[in-house]
Amino acid sequence: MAITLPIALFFGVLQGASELFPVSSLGHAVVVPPLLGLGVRENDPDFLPFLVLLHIGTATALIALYWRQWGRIVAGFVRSAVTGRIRGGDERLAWLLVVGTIPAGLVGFLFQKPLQSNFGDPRLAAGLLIVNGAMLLGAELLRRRAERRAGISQRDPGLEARRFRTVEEMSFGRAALVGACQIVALFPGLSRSGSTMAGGLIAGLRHEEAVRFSFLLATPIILAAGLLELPSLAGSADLGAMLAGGVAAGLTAYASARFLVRYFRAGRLDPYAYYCAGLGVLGLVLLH
Amino acid sequence: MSDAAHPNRGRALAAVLIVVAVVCLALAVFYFTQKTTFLAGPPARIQLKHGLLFAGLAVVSAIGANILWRWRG
Repeated sequence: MAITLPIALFFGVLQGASELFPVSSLGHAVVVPPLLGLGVRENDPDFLPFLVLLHIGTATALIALYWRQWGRIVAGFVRSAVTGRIRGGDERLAWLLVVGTIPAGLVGFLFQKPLQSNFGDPRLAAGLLIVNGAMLLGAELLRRRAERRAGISQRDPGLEARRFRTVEEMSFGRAALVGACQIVALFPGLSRSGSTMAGGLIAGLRHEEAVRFSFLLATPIILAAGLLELPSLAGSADLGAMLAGGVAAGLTAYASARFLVRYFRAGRLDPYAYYCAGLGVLGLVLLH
Repeated sequence: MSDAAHPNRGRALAAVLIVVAVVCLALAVFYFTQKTTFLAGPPARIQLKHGLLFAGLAVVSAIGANILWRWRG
């Protein structure tokens, strides 16, 4: 299958936008091309190198967005490894990310091949998009109930800040559970960022902190998955177009992340829930 | 690390992590030296990626065990 420049740019923008919004990038990559009549299949072996570059582009955008924080996190990890103690917030955050990354990283790596067999089924992805919508809506409703119990009747950032936690205040057990939520995203249609944002809200994080933890958790797992598959790029005939797709994915992911960080200071998950449900229904109706 | 606030609990978790580190190290050596399909699928070959994964997990587990061993709540 040839990756032409228009195809590469289309998939780059699609991946960059949908990876960080809680709407499942993999679900979009499986459902949208057949809806638009594009003859591209995600489970095609030739498609893997292209996906690698798209993911490296997205991870690069996340590192660019949080580069100061990543510098402090890496320094905190090294400091805690050398001293054998966790003292500051950066050191704690580094270990929260390690604990949160291991469950999905391990499952994704060890079950990669059986999971990839689901990539060629757009109707399954469409059905799981509906499930993703229900998951987002459920998390938002649970959170609203918690806010009502805490006496927060309307969205009030001040009250929410006092009642709910920052990432650094979260326990390691909760970080592992939020990280484990990423496992569901190994199925096309279920969103990694959606599941971790939902998990973060249920774990008692503030809305914007749930987004921050979701983005920070995404970086090592996306980057590692990309780098591990980097050798598959060797000998690819369409490397120029693929690189253009990777750059498009990075730029779109950066813009999406900036928007989401701002939006989630006052935003909710439910609009994305309705969108996912709508696209899933459309896919089930139109794809045979 | 409120999860390990009691020193004895911290040391118990550290002991578990030491066991995990040893198992991961053994798996890393296995994948680096033996041609296998175990948890990797065919064809049978030296599984470098699996070796790297388990070597990384062994290092992280050992560092985590060291931190938990010294943890005093």
